[in-house]
Amino acid sequence: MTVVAVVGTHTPVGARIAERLTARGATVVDLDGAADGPPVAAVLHAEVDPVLYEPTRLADLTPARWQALCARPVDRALATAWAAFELMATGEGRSGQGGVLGFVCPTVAMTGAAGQVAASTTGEAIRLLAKSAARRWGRFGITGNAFALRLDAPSPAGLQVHATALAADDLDPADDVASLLLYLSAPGAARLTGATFTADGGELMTP
Amino acid sequence: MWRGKVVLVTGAASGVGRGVVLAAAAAGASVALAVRRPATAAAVVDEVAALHGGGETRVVPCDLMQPEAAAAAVAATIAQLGRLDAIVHSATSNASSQPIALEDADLDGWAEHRTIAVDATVELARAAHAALKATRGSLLLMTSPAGIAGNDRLPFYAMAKGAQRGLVKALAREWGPDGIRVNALAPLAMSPAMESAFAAEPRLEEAVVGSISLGYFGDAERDVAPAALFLCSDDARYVTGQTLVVNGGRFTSL
Repeated sequence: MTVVAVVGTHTPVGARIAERLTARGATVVDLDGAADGPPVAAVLHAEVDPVLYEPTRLADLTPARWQALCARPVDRALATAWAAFELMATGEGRSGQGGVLGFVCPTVAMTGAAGQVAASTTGEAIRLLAKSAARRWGRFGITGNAFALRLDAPSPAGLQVHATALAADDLDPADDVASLLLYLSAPGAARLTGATFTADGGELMTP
Repeated sequence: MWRGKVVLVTGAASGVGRGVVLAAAAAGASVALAVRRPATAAAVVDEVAALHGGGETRVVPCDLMQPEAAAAAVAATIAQLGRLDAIVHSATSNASSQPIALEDADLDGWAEHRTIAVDATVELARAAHAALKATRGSLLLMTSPAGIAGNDRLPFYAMAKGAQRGLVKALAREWGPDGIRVNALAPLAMSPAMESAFAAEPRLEEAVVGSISLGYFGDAERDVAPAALFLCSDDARYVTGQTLVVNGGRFTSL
């Protein structure tokens, strides 16, 4: 039985991934209280508020709105990271058994888009948290990876120019993320860390 | 190319910021030096004065940890020098080069990095948009390869520099129709913080230099500033949304 703590099940993306994890036989738990249950193999931060991806031009990003769209989501991701460390870190004086720390990020973080300054900035901050945690926490048995999904509205023109047919279809990547997370939680994936796995049907095909 | 133009540089008193000030002034630009403590900019102002043909300088007090400070710096620059052609945001947190273990860190530590690197950039950009649109100007952020590859002992620095890269890409796409270019530059140059670190641990300097393809630590004025000026200049008028890594080949992966 693989136990996965999912943060963000109150958001559409988090809820869908949790549902697919359960369908694939995992036990999904809340991060809060996870320390009282069986060992957690993975912690996934999938707290993706759709409002973050509504196009908002810089001129309309007031300080208050900026705090809501950037500062708070990154603070929440850090909180997840620290809680995951307490749960999963191995070593002297620690009770964890190792595991996977994952973050769902928007593909727009890697590309940028007009009206998506907040999403791109927040997404990259979180993706670099994943990488830095991977570098630091490998010694504690924790791998860190990001799962990049298209979360903003695609540009039809852009899709027509170079994306694959899969990218143009309205495919749900939640099952891809669930499947991959479970694979990464298995012993054979211990060296897959610091990566960004892009599940967008081949729209980006990052270098 | 730079005569008659105005550049605002944050973090202008030392390191890369100082290098950009000197290079811009040598090229004929007028430069606003945005610094937290004005007295720290005096030496740089004197260096500019010693140049032949340099433009005017103004020291603009700017504590980026304070709300509205970035916007005030932009306004002061335009008021005193008449226009704005480029902003080079070089200021970083004082903790940028102080190693921390992520598991021992807290949100307060992150907040300082975010405030200076990210929040201040948004404030600078919002305040400067009209002026940069009028001159078809440029915004340049000093980032780092740590913002691409992560860092095990500088996690907040890596997150802040990564966040800046995301911001650059999105803002470049948003401001392109306005004729404003937005880029990032990831430098490797000796700084007072690095000098202190190397003095404390000489083997560290040897290890770092050993990983630099060109075999030496970059100089902010001679090795980094020319690249920064290029990105802000008309020579790079078709370059936007990019990160140029200027570190002697130490970092070559995408």
